Amino acid sequence: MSKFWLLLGPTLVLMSVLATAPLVRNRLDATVSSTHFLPLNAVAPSLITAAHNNLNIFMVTAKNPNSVDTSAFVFSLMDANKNTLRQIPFSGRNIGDPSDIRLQFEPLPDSAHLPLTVAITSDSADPGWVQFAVNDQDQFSFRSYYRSSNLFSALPTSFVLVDPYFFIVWAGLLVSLLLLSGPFRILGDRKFS
Amino acid sequence: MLSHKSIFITVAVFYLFIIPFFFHPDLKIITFLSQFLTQGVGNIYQFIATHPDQSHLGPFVYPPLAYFFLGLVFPVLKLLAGPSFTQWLAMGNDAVAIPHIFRFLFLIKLPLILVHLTAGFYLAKLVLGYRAQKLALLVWFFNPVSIYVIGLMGQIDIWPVLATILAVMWSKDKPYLAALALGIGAAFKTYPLLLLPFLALLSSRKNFTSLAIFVTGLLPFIVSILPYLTTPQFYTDTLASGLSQRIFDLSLSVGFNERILLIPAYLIILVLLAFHSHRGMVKHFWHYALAVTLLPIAFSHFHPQWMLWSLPFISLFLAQKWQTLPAMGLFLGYLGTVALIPDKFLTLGLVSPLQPEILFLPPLASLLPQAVLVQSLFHTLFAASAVWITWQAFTKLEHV
Repeated sequence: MSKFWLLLGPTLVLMSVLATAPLVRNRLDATVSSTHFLPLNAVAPSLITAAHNNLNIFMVTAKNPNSVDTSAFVFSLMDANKNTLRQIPFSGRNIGDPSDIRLQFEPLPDSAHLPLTVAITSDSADPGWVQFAVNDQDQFSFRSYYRSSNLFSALPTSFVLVDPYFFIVWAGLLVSLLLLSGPFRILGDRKFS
Repeated sequence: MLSHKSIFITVAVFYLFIIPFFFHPDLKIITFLSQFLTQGVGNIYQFIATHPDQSHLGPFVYPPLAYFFLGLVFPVLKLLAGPSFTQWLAMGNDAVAIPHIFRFLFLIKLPLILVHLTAGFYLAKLVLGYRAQKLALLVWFFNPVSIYVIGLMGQIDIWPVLATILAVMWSKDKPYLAALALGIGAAFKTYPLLLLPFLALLSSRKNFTSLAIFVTGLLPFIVSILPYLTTPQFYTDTLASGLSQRIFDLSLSVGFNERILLIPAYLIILVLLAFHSHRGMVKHFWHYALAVTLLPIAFSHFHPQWMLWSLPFISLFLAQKWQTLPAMGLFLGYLGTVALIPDKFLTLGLVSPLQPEILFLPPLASLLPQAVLVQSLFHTLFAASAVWITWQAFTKLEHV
């Protein structure tokens, strides 16, 4: 019974992941981190190469203080020859301060290794009001996603590598706590139920 | 015989294991707002109103002591979390796919786990006998509400809950100290004020003494809010989303748009019962604490964390008179009701640090046909079980 209490934490985490993995169809393809915000007219298009087929979502971050600018914006995804592959219009009304804007389109079947250009245009009368998150080269920062048909692709397998120093300290703390109480005493004591 | 120390360490291992992996935006938002204390902001309510550029995550909805306490803890958190911590706090509610998310979640929840453990320590002191103490601890630490509200969400309600446990502990011998505990708890979140009239009435048969205890309890709360009484945003931000609004919803129409408000009526009946039947009988205090914190929640459209308020007293009840069916009904009804609240961060969104893409999905409620009916059935189960447990505590129990 005591083993139950000790295994409850790992079981809870594992079950949460396994239970939700089949629900998650859109998986992360690429991330371009942001360093600052710039007005739309100062942002350069982003050049990317998708890692997976069926690219279908871009998340961009923008801020529209007090939701003042209600102009129309257009997100465009183009190939190397500047042919528009996908286009999504959106309104300034959907931009918070700041907020993530989800741009979802019909999956691009053969997007893997395809050079793509991401651009946003607007007919705004005040193109300096709405600012977009950009990287250190003043290109749009974003997260892109692809539609996955493989259930196992939704299992997070490398999260420890994201912050190894934390996980080393965290695991050390847990092990120290167990040693402090005497793991064998906990596991072996019938009264602890 | 295994010591309580080992129980507490097992609990610590459990909670410290799970807290980095689950996320709810509430704690991130109030930590973000509390950091303004380190920039010299004393009146957060006015500051947010006059700096709309800083209010994109919403207002500070708790009383001032919560702001000051979290603000004082913030520099320590920032030191341990690293330079990108403040940047993360300012991001939107779906900022989970970032490199240090696990350490951030661990650090901002860590103080709550320490308070949770402390609360369990004092709760066990209220129970006589090793077996009953162990049962109280297991119920307190491993019930679905504690795990969900503290471990997964990271709600600061555990602070006033600790205050109410201390108040029950001190109520027998040190009623003034108990009143102070309630007042300080109310300075974090106002609900412990509801317990104050009962502490005052049950602690003494003398009107003057009862009044003195009542005033003693009010003092810390009033002192803490005094500088903010002239700030209109203080009222709107701290009162608009709380129980003070919800308790007026349940009512009986008597015609001509007039209504009998059932929860205030219930609270008045409890006051009358305390005055006429249990005056000076402080051993009943925790029964009243249970009755005041559980039923108004069970008969309201509640926030999930409000259930934590009654949990110490439910644990006391179950530790002394374990009843499987009511306990199952209460917790199952609670979980079912909460799971169908149309807010993705209360269910699927909790696992977003491990599955960031889960935030693309709508709330569970919108995936289920007849979700409101199903939720109502769960809520009914919750409410009925709450009535049963409250009634049993009043009528069948030996007293702490």
